[in-house]
Amino acid sequence: MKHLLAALLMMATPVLAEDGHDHDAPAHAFEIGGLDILHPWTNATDHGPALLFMELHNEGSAPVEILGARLDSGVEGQLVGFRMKGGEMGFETLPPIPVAPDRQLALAPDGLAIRFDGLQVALEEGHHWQVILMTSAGELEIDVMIEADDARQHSHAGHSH
Amino acid sequence: MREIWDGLPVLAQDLMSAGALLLPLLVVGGVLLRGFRPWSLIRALMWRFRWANLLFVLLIAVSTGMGIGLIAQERGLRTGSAQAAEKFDLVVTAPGSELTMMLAAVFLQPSAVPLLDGAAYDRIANHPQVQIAAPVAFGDSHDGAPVVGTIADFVTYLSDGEIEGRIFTRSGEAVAGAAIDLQIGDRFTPAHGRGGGADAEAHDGVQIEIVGRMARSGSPWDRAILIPIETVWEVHGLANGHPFEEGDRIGPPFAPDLFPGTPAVIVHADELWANYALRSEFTEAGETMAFFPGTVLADLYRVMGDVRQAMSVMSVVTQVLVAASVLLGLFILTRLFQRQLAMLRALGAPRRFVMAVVWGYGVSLLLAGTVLGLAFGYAAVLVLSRIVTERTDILVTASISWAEVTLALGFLSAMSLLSLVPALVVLTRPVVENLRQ
Repeated sequence: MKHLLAALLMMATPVLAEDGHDHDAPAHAFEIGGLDILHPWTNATDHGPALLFMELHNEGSAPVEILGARLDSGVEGQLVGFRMKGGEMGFETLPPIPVAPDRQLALAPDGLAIRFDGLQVALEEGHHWQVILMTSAGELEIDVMIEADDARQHSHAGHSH
Repeated sequence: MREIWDGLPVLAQDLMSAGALLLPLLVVGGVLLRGFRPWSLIRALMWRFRWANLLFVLLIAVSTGMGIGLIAQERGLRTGSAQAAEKFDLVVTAPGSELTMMLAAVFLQPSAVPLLDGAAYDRIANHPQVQIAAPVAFGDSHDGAPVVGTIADFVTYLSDGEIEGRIFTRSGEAVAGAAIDLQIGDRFTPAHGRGGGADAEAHDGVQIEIVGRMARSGSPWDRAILIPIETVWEVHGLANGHPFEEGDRIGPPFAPDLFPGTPAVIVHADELWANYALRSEFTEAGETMAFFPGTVLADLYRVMGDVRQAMSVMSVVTQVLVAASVLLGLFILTRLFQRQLAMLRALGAPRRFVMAVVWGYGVSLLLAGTVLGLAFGYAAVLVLSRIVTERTDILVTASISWAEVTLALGFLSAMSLLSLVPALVVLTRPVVENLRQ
């Protein structure tokens, strides 16, 4: 299956180049301990909080727990879940969430997210943001795409990387 | 600065916002009225032209009340619908429109939706993190109320265990919602379908007995009759999910190959976090679709948010029109008593005192209109909430929040500043000419 995906990706490459993709741009896919991290993104904001979204797929043979994330500056991001409580929309802090082998987990708007409070700098649309994802398999620096402040998905959502 | 503000309690933020809105009124009032006691004159003006003043106050009250009523009602409906869906953590259905599926499974709106098969239900029900996997089956009705097939655990969960009588324990028994006009011990025959096209004779011979009644939940399930899902399948001539040798047993587990299908499975997990993992797991292309009703409602509220903004703009436009009417009215009213004001000036009253009388008079009318408007708004919300609750079974509670109070205070404050204009105009009129009139 992986070989098939790789072959399809190679076949698709010239087409993607014609589509105007910038291949010098930072990657959209990362991997740690068998956990594939695809399309990490956030919304532009000038005063936070920032919600970090991504698609996760455990291709390994052991469960991997998502613990949260942190920045080089020391600011920590917590796992939160969107919830309607008492008729009001809000987020609740969640414990680490395991991703079982061959399972997927989507961090997406109005669902699961990693929230950063107290950001010192603005996140500008079109720029990238370096975040360290904390998992039970270790820490990994990922490159987060900053989308528009009202975006509901990564601009490459649906693409295979 | 923003961090300090964000760190304040909500009530403190609201009070400070209200104080900031009232500040212009207080400053102008302080400057104009300092050292003067114009209230006896203002009272006399009020009484002298009482019918015109009353009409003026009512005009302000109705316009303010309309704006407040619209905004408060929209919020009440939004909160009520969200609370009605709160028990529905995760819904799994066949792929399709999340909104249609939510309206069917959570708000019990009639809709033709595809079914999930026994294998899909089995996969959901046997997931280690799933506590309740309730299949629901709808399509029948009694006296306009939906008859919904499900499992006993879901009825207990939905009602928080508050059931008068008992839960159903065999096929042919039912638990009625709080708004159902049937008593424990009553029997009924379900009609096939809902609404005007329901066939009352399709299930002739079937008798279902009410054995319990759920406490009021403020959701459309108050007007539903819940029966074992096996009963729904049996009255439609389908297998009942169990092999023959299991006898009359109802409820899970179901045999996948004898499971006729369900339009939706309501899932409740032990842990909150598990819902998010389950949503990802049960969303399989072409197989099943899992969604949070709260998320679908949030999307809906975003659209409603745009409508709300449009309503707010309409409300502001109405207020501007009223503001123009108020100003015009104040000009007309000051013309009514310009002779008395000219007399005051002829007697040597300071110009600031005359201004204080005119401004104080205008602000008194505005204040009375605004307070009455808040009362009108509350009364309007109370009546509308009752009508909406009656028609939808979504419990909409009437309340006036700080948002409405802020709107009213903003209007009052802005108008109090504009009331300075007629007060100033009075001073420009020649005294002698006014005395002769």
